[in-house]
Amino acid sequence: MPLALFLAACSDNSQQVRETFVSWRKSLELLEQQRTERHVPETYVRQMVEAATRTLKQHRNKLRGDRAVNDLEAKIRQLGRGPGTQRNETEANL
Amino acid sequence: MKPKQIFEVALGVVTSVGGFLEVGSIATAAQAGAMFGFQLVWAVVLGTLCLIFLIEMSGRLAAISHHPLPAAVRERFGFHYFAMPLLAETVIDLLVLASEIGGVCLGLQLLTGVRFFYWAVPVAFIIWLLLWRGTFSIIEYGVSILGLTTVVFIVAAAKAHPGFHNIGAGFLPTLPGDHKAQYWFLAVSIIGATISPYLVNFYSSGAVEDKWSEKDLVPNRLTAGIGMSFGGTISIAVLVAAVMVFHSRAISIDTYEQIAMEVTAPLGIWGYRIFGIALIIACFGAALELSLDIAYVYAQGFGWRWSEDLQPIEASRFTLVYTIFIFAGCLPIMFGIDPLKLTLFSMAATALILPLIVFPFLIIMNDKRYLRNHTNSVFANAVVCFVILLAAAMAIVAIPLEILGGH
Amino acid sequence: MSKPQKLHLIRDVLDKLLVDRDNVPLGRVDGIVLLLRGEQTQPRVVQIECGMVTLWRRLSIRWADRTYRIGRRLGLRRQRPVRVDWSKIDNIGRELTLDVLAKHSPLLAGERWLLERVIRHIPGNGMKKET
Repeated sequence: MPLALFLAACSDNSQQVRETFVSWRKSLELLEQQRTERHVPETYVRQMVEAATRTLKQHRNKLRGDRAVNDLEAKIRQLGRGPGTQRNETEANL
Repeated sequence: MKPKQIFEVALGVVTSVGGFLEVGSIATAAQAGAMFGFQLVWAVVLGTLCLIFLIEMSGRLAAISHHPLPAAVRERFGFHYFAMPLLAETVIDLLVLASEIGGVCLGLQLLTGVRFFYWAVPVAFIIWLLLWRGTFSIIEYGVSILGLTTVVFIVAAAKAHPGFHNIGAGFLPTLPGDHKAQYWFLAVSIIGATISPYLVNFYSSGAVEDKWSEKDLVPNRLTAGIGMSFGGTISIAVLVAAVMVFHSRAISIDTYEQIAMEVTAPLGIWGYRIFGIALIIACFGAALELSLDIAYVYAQGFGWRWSEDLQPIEASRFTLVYTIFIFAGCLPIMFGIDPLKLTLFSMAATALILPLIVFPFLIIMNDKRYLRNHTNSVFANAVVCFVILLAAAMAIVAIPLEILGGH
Repeated sequence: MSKPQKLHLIRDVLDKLLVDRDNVPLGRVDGIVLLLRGEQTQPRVVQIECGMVTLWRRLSIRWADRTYRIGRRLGLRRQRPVRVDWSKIDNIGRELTLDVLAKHSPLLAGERWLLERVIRHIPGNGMKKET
């Protein structure tokens, strides 16, 4: 019974992390749209990419090989390639 | 009412708005809207209604007795009781002050791109300098009028066309399908962010600073009612804008930077800039009030000379308290602690100490030695009892919910 | 001198604000000193007491004594509470008015120390320059 509870808690935690990564990917999609519409400055895009990268680095070990991790990484790389941002720096941080 | 009184009420409403919306109410309302749609509007409404009554009472106490609330608590309950809210407010006000300084720093980060922790010491210094050299009027009116920039949230929410029936449905509590722990954690945090102990203390001390008397009772009631309602409306607007931008896309708020998009989506680049400015001003104003509040509590509790209108040499100990507080408050931000996490933790922690702050109202507001023939009505006493029970319930569940439902 | 005929010491004196002749706050009544002269006589109020040590002792005598000993080792000299004779109380109302002036009162020794050692050295403190 304690083991079942422990495993349930772990899977809850993984589920929460997955939801966080999915949420971040959607945040960055919205950010990309706003950048295209020139609603946000490049400094803000950089800040959001850095925040997403920090979240990814903090929790990626809990979801090894999960699709949510790959999707978020791809989105961060894609945004990092935008005008005025350092492509190599973003990829190096990942 | 005379034109001068109408002007004073209008000014009072503006200053109430300036102190109402700050980093805690913005963070909790945005998170609530993003995660649960309109389901937590009731928490903002409930918190606002409770605050209106408490603010009116603390203003009435100051106007009739010329005693601010902390002084009345020490005199009426003795040092044994007073020591508890003193210690509790010392800890909680410090946490909330750190959150507000974090909010200012984040606003500066959004506008300049320079990371928030570099701004911690300069911001703390400017807060201190304004208190060291400024007067109560400058702080009360100057910063609060600038706080009207927070109206940007109302504009953003309106532009998103949320539908009043959707917002109206949120006035009644409904349980979510899942994430119940997070739902209740946010409800407690919203109410804790709204019924801030420092607001109640600061209001009564400010009324004594402004030398209120019996003729100010009607303006006090209007200021409490209209001002807090306006502040609550802006909080609801933050929640609504978050629903329209984040909830519809299944985006939850994990960092403060994300909140900017709820304004930029409907209002564009100018919305972004005004959001940054509004965040700086709202949190700066709250930081000033918090610093003054803790100095008021110590000075009034121990019988020192106090007033923001006095020069530092005339009130040395009062000045020392806010100086220590401001520079202690900037340390967590300087060391890079996440402002959003700090904010959510401090709002839930505020719920822990609420019963200590609210309970004295039940005794003091019925004491004719302080209020003469302006003691509480039966209805007002019933409201205070309700708020005490609500605060006690929140205090019991705050820590378990923090563990289960906090990030 | 204006004092009521009947006085409730806890309700009307303890924790009340002390002010001087010009209404300047001096502190609060942190303690009351009673004189006991033998078993057959009634206790008499002789002094009021102000100070952090008195407040600490109201919360916990053990912790107050410990804090006092630590303070002595650190070289803190002004730890003893200030006692004011009951005869110095001019009026008992919502506040207790003392027949003293604030600038001479030992009750404000801490404030004066802070002013001289810290506040006056910080620019913009409001002190008028001597000409």
